[in-house]
Amino acid sequence: MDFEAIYNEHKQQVFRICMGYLNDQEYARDLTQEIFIAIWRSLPSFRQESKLSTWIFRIATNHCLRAIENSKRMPTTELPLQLEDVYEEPIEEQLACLYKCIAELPQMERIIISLVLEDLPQTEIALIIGFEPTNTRVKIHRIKAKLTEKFKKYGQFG
Amino acid sequence: MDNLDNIRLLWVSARTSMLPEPDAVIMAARKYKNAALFRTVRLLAYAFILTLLLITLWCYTNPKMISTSIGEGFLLLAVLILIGTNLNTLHRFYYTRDLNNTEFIAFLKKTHERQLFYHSRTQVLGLCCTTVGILLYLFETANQHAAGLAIYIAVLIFLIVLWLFIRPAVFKKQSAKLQLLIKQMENLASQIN
Repeated sequence: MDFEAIYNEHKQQVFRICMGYLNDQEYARDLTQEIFIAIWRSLPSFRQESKLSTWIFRIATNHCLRAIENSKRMPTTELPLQLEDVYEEPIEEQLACLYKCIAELPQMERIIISLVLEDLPQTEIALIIGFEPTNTRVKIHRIKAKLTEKFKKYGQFG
Repeated sequence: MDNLDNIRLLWVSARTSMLPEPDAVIMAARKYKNAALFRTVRLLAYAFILTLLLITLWCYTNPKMISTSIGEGFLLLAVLILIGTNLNTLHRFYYTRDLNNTEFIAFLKKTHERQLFYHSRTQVLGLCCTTVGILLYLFETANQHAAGLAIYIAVLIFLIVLWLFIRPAVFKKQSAKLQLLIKQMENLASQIN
């Protein structure tokens, strides 16, 4: 499997999931890189027991969950590669509000809604999270309602 | 904006132009892998050299007191504990599990519990072996020369400081951090159930 193709196909999705979880552009960029380093390292051991995308999203979301271990921001000196300082693009107001609404959700719900917004089928989300497929639909429905309610509260509907 | 489809459109509009090129990620991955591996391999190499040195000393020196041989035995045991722990780390470095989030949270919780066990038991056992080993090993030298006695007293003072001040402070800090992480994992697990 070609890492370059995998990277180009999934980097945007992985970045958005990190952004949804962390609501910090710089941290999300660093975590995206860390996730792809893990994918590159684990690629030879991928046994194709699950879909490639399921495997990638499992690694990505597990890394997001692990970010809890870094109570402070990851020090840049421990990063594998010092990326060039990139001018942080300002996030559009509505998008910033969306990230804010997602950030107010508990961690697992942040992950689930990010996967929903990536348009992943419920069966795949269940495989990534480890839910019983029957519970997934109810949980997703509840989180969607919670998010739209928050979005409404911040006056973004209309 | 009136439904989830529109939120989805907003979601995918996030800019990702700041992400590095694949070559840069591969280069970073290689550097990271080598650096992480190098640290563990270097520690293991030192431990193996120390083991060889201890075995050589055992074979070629002729200690008059039994305490010297027993001391060497304890030091060897301490080094073996260090090697065992680090070989385990090396194994974990190569063995990547394909786990879903639920399994991963359980795995992280177990890992933190094991780290806590390591700090409270294995590390103490290693330190005990080192302390007893050094004190017994140097006892013969301390008996023979004044300089040896001075070294023995200095080592003894260091070991007292280590056991009474350094080790409890480090353990308290590590233990608090690990217990917090275990609690956080329990909180994550409760969000799934």
